[in-house]
Amino acid sequence: MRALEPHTAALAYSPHDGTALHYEVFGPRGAARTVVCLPTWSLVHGRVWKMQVPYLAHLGYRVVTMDGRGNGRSGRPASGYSTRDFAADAVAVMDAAGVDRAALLAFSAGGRWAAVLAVEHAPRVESVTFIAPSVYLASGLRALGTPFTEAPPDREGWNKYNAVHWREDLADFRRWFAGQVFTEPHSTKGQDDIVAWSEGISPDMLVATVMESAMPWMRDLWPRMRQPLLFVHGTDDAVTPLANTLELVSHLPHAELVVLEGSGHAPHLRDPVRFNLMLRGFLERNDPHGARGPREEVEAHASA
Amino acid sequence: MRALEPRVTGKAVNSRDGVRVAFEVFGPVDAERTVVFAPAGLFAHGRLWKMQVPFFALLGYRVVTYDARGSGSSDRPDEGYTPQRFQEDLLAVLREVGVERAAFVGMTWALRWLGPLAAERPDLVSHLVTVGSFPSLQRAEPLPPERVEASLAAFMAEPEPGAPVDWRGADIRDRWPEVAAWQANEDLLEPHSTKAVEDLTAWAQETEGRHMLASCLELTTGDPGDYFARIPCPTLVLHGELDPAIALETAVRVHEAVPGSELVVFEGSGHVPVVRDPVRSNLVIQEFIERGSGAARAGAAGSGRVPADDRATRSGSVPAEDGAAGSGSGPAGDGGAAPGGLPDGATLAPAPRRTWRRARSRRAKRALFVSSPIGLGHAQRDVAIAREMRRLVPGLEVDWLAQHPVTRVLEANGERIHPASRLLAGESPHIESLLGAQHELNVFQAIREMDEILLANFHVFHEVATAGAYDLWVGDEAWEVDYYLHENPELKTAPFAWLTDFVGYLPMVHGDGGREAFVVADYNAEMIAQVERFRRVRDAALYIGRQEDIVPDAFGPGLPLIRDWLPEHFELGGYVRYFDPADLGDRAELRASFGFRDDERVAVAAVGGTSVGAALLRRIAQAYPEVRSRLPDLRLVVVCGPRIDPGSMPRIEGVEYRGYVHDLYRMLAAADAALVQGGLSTTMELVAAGVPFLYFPLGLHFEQNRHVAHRLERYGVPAWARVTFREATPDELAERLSRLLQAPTAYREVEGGGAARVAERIAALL
Repeated sequence: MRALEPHTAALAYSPHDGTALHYEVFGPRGAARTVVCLPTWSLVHGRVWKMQVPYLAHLGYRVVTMDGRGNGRSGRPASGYSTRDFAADAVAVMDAAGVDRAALLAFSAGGRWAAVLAVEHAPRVESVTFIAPSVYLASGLRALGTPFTEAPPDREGWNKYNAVHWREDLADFRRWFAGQVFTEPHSTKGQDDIVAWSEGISPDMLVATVMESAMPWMRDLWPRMRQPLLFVHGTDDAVTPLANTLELVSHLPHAELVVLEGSGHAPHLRDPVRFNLMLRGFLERNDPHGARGPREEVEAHASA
Repeated sequence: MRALEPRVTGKAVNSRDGVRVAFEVFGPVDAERTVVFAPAGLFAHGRLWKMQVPFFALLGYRVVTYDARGSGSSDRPDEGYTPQRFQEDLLAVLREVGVERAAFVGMTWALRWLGPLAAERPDLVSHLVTVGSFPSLQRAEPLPPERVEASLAAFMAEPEPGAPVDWRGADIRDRWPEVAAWQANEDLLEPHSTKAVEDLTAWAQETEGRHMLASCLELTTGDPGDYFARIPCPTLVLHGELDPAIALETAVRVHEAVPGSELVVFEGSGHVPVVRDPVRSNLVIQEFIERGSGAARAGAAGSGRVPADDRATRSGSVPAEDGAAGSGSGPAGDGGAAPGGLPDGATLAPAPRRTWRRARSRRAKRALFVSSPIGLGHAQRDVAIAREMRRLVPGLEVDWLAQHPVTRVLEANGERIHPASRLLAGESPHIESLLGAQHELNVFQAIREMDEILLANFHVFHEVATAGAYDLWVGDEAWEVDYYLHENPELKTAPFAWLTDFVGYLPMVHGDGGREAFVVADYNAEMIAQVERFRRVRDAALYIGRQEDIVPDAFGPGLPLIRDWLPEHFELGGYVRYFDPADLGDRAELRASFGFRDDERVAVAAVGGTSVGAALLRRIAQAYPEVRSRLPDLRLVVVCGPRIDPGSMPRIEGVEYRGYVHDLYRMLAAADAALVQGGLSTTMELVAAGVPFLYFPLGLHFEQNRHVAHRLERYGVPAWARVTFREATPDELAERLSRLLQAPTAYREVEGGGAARVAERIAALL
């Protein structure tokens, strides 16, 4: 069972291609502030925020999660996996859920759509928290030894991150990748979760997410984020290097950066207590209502 | 020397009347944010804030203090002490320093010029904090002139000759040094306040009686008091509960008059908490002005970045961690602190009204007891331990963080359940949801699948534990508390006592390629690493049992034997028997109280506090016709417990159902035979009472099949008394019941005094 069940589970639809987007809403209905937990790479679905949702809801936030296209209970188009598709999906969900403005949580690839939203839909984005952003300003992609669509010389290590291998043995990649996400000792549960949440993605769709991920415009867009930004990155991240995040942050003088020593790619899952407390502090410092917290706003509405 | 010298000192000139106002500026040159501390009228000048200035400067704020006209290093005109003049003085200082926006903190009289300023200048005032507020007598409407005159006349009345000094006009004018010393002594009613009294007295000597009096009169008559409702900025009203100068009701009035304001009450505090309780004052003010500010460090070092090695410092800015003021909405104990913690609303967010009780005023000691909801046995044992603790520590208050079905036992025993308990995510429903068809429950996997529930519940615990200022935390198999405290040892702010009746997960699934064995060993290895690295987390670790009760297994391949490792990291507390068989009284009477007759034999079937035993109860009921054919005088009473609806059970002739039975052990003790699940508490109740029983461990349940079975064997429970669900056919049940009733049992005695032993060890932490 979950720690907290959603009060709303519904579908929104992509304005680009009509893809159905499953989203869930948690927390008090009258909440003054909303946190939108963006989907990450469609290897996994919306449950990737399971360690944040109940806490944020208890703090009085409305919390929205969604399954990225290609996984979970969202649609599975053959193509349409570009950064702008995902960004438009998030906007569609915000519209459907009646969210005008929200603090965004972005994990790994989610950082790409978050950046688009923060710049191109700036009034709707209160702040962004980036966890181990998988955003590369030079190429948009992680550098690979063998081109992504060519058969690698062997199937070891990052050579598994390859379209040919995925089509042959996606299960092997999923299990291996789960190990890369959690480099901390004693992380079997987190790894098992990644494997379970990636059951619903097909090799072709996963390949499409990579093939369509080029974003040469990111270099220009990235420094234009004006909202309060928090970056969280682990020193032992085996998926996105800390150095890349240092580079990303160097273009954003107002951003906060918290480096977690010994943490891997998903500190919000592996060190949820610390991450949640940090997130809470960040959200409260950046409350547009000032010291009047979400709870009180609710009461003010109720009495009005 | 001061803790921090000002970076700039100067005098600003009020252009209206030429009065010069002395100010000081502290903190980094490039600070992006400013806090202005306004003096308490003429009574205490800028040095009043000596306990705040260095802290806020260190946080990266530009800090401005100044002396009110008539005091300290400012000019001392004979008149011109209206709120308007004071406001002009402040604006002159801000112009001189170059402040365009700031948080303003003021004490007592300062509200009379900060209040109007906040109402009129939302561009300038980002936050208003008012301490020991002394608002105008006049609120939205001016008082009738005769009331003002009467009040002033009373204030200015000449005292009787020889009367001791008081806060009256004539004394202020003629005997100011004495009045100041007397008032300082009154204001600081907290014990051991000599330094603060001397400081306040000394500061008050830096004005003269006639100026003080002029300010009292002009600040009173010149204040329309009509601005509270128009204050648009976040406003915090901070007040001492026992403030003898200005009653708490006055602060409540200000709080109610300023829309959306927050009220923090320091319980046990007098008039000047910023001097007498500076740490908590500073943290409360910091948390308040940083909320919504966007500042990670108020622009410290220009960037707000946090270097990797600064995590410990960083955590200080997380409000949830600093033991922040909790609300006082819970049940208040006699003479003790309010239990603090959370309001009745379903939220962990800070309440608009909160209290913090100063340490010296916390008379009663307070413990927070977290009792695992999995199984009812812990609850009985924990109530027994808490009872003993209260005996050992008179006045001890125990709050319980627990959920159903434990709360059922706690309520029946009159224990105090923390209201935040209802924020706990359900553990029993989760466990029940994973029950297999054949009386099977892989409890290790169930706990593992429960990670998000455990996390959500840890957050509730952490919030309650820090807000409630407890002197002790006790966790009985409260896995989330123990696990996440080891993962976040810096969050531990009270002694922690850990109780468990088993140590070590054991694999129950085979034929899965060794996966469960591997994962189980990994969990054990993590636990071992946590305990060995962070010994400071558990101040007491008590194993509810003896050396012989420990299973012979290892924690896993390459890991130590449990019976070797356990005694090195636990104290062996012995079993906690929560009732004394001798107290059960006359057996015939006991039986009669349950309606059991002398000429019949009664078998009681019970499955503890969860619904996972429903299938077993059903099967037992269905076997009854067969059983009765062999044992005609055997009556069957089935106790469904708090989570199984008796209406959902099969109707079988002769089978009686009961719902929740309080103190079930009494009924079990009155029975001739019992049929129970494999939980430790119930089986040990039966051993203690000497009642023959069959037990049915849940399949794949490592604790019931391994840890409990091992212990029962040691107490003399025969192997054939352990029945698997598969074996439990009507025929077999009838067979084993017959055997049970024929063969007299010879269980080993269950030692008494366990609760007292355990309580004594825990109470030592208090």
